[in-house]
Amino acid sequence: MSKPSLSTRNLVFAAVIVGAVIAAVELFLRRTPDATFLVALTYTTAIVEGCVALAATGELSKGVWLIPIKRELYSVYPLLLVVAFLSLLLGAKIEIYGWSEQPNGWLNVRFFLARNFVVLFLTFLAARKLVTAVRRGSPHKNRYAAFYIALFIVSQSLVAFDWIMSLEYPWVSTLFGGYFFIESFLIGLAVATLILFFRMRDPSHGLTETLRDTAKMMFAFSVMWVGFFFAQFLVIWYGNIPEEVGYVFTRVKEPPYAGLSRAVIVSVWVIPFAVLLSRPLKTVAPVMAGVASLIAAGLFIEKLVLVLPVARVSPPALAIEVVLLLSLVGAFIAGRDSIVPQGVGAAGGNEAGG
Amino acid sequence: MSSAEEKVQYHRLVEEEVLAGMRKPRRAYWVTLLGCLGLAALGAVLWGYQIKKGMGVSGLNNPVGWGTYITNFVFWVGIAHSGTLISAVLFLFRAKFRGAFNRSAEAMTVFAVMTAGLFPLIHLGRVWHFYWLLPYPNQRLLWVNFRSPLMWDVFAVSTYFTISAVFFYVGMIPDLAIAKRFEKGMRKRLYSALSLGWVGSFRQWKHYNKLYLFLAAFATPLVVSVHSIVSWDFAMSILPGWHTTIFAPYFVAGAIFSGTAMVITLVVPMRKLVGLERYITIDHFESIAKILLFTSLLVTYSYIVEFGLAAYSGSVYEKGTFLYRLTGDYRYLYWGMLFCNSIVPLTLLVRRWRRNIPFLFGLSIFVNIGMWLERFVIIVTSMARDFDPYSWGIYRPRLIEAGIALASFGFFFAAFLIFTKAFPVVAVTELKEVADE
Amino acid sequence: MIDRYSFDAKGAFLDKLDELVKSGVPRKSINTFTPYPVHETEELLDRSQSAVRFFTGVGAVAGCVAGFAFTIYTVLSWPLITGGKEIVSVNAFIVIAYELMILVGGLAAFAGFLFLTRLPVFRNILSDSVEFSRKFEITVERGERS
Repeated sequence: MSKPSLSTRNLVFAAVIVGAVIAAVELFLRRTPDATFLVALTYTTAIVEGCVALAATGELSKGVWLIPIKRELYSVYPLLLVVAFLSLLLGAKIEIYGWSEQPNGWLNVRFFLARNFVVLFLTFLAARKLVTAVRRGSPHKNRYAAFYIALFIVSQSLVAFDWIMSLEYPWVSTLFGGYFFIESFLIGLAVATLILFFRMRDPSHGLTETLRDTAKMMFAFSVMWVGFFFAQFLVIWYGNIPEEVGYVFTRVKEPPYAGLSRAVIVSVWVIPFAVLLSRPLKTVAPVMAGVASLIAAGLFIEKLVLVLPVARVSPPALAIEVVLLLSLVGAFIAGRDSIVPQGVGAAGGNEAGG
Repeated sequence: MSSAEEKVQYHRLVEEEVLAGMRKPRRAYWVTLLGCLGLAALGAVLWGYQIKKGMGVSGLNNPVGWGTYITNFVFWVGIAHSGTLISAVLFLFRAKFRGAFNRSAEAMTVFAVMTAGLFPLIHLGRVWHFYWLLPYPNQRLLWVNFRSPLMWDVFAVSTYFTISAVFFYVGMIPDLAIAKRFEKGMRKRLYSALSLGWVGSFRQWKHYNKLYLFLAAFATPLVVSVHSIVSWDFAMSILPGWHTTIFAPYFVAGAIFSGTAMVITLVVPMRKLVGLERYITIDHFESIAKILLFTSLLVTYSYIVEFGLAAYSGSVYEKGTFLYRLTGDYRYLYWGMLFCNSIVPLTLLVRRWRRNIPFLFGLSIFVNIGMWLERFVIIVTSMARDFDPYSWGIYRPRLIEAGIALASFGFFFAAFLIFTKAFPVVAVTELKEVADE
Repeated sequence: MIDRYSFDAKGAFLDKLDELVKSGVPRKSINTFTPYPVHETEELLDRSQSAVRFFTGVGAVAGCVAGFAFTIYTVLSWPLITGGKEIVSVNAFIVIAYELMILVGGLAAFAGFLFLTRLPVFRNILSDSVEFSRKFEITVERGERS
């Protein structure tokens, strides 16, 4: 390619600028605490962690199909550090959490910020060790992939339980953590599909089979997502106990959230299910990119549905923050050559024969 | 498998060695089979006694109305699931190590579902009323309660049995056609009929491949949904410790966990006795051990989340239930469960132990015990202590329940033993296909 | 008149098949018998998708519809409120419909397979002349030549 690839320095610079802008905006410009930043951060964390989780799972399961896009998936790992530091910014918005007025042993500002930062930071370290091991073709890379997956599960669970579920303390859903890490994995698959779409504009791509396999995985996880959604919904609906059911009722039955919930299910499951059932469509890159975008958009609206009944969000600020953060993700993927240099994907990951 | 000559030799070898396992059994086989059948017969006698005398002969009472019978039901359905996972899900993921295990795993599934299906009947007491569960038109214009999770169970488990049996049978058709070649007389006719006159023609393989793919694609959501529905037998209640959203994936992970352990328990001796060391290798066992480790970690995650969120919620009932599990009447069972399910499988992080077959066999026994204990602890503790202290009580299983539980193992193992002599225990056709790649 | 070619190994078998197809032998008159499915034969002989998928699709849809229809009919036929749920409690019926979808879909797929392959072949069951062998075979039906 004749385009100059983004150097590490450019990327670090971009990350710092975006982080600083968001921090400045949230700390100084937007004084009244709302959940704008929370939504933007949760969504970005899901994307970044999901991409690396997908690649790590590929390492562990010796998934040969993932190899062509492994570099792009790994290239977002430095953003885990950005996300870790940005998580501290939640401290400025802590009033959106009811428990900040009446803290207890688990839910108090210091411990909340500290444990989330530490876990996200450890996730970053695990990802870094993994990528280094993959770069060197180290025989221990599976170990680091396993560490990353373990930390991925823990950090996404914490995001779910701490950042989102505690907004409506003392409402509890034990499946919330699992629901979030499945969503993160699904959004990682959507990003993988979009990466393939961009790569496939080059006519000599040879990625048709990769696209087909990614589409199959997206199908499977979309179904798994709706399964988790239904499992959570059915249990709470059936028990109908006052301490639980209000949360779901507001979001699924009351307007305007009812309409949004329906939109979420249609865009994350109904349409992808119908489209991805078709064998020939799975290799048509624009259609797959459309489905992936639909899933990504649906999962974003889902975060809004979870948060809006309890906290306000400012649409223009949210739009700016999400655009900034997603552009950062895109920049890092585009700059993969400096983060995960060439010649690593094929050699480091391919145990021939599976 | 480099030269064509070697491949041809391998094809003949795999047929002969695997089908040799179906030949006349030795004395040890008959002794074991008789023992298992005896145990199953004992179970039948005990069940008959219970039908005659009534459910009071078991330890079930108020407040604990569900005990070892339901524990066994959930346990055996769970065992069935990993058979389908190994067979169907690994097929969809094109995992090559599947070929050595999948036949035994599918057989295990079918027999485990059969065993599981006995327990709602045993638990019913008045067994002759079981048909009330089926939605048939009747003169009183009554219909079953489709809103009940127990009704969902009827549909789920029947569907699971039917599809698993079909999947098991369809997978065997080519191998049965091979078996026909090796047999004589009546047995030859039998395998001939069972293989439907299969010859491996172009059209037959084309449709067969599609059928197998669809069955695997149907069996996969079945794995997830059936045990989710079984978990909803509990989650649809409002009891603390039962009413929790994580039950569906938690039970599915636990099912795969216990089922994979049972696969190891069955395949380790079978491999030795039938002489299949060449086809079921240490690498296969290591792959299975990794599944065991992963599902153990998922189960541990569920334990931590349940316990943690009970403390987090501040609900006196939730906290009470989990403290009761940890320190109450059933604490030894709870600690045993944690030890067997969460601690012991951590040893699988060590590669050397993952590749040690006697170690895996011993570990699988621990896991089987631990998962049985888990079901028992979940079911009994939440019923023994629910909301109102006035209705708290204790459940102590009686000998008859222990006897029937043991008998279910006898029934299952007997069925499996008969399978090893009646059908090829390894997917011969698949092994040939993989070898030639 | 049927020409038969028998091979011990897959490589030689595929070479011959390729040769036959390239030499202009009509594909419909070629049949193969293999000990396991060989994907290259599909590419050479007949790339069309198996029709089993129609049986499966119809079965699955029928099962799903039947699941909802039956549950809703029965609950409207004798409307009993249990557990405070609405009479037509769709969430609960989803579970029943889902299971029936899989059951009927799977059985329909199996029935479709039997129908499309014309199995069981009683002639093969009763006689031992045709067997499922270890060899890779090609048969070509040569029509009457004038």
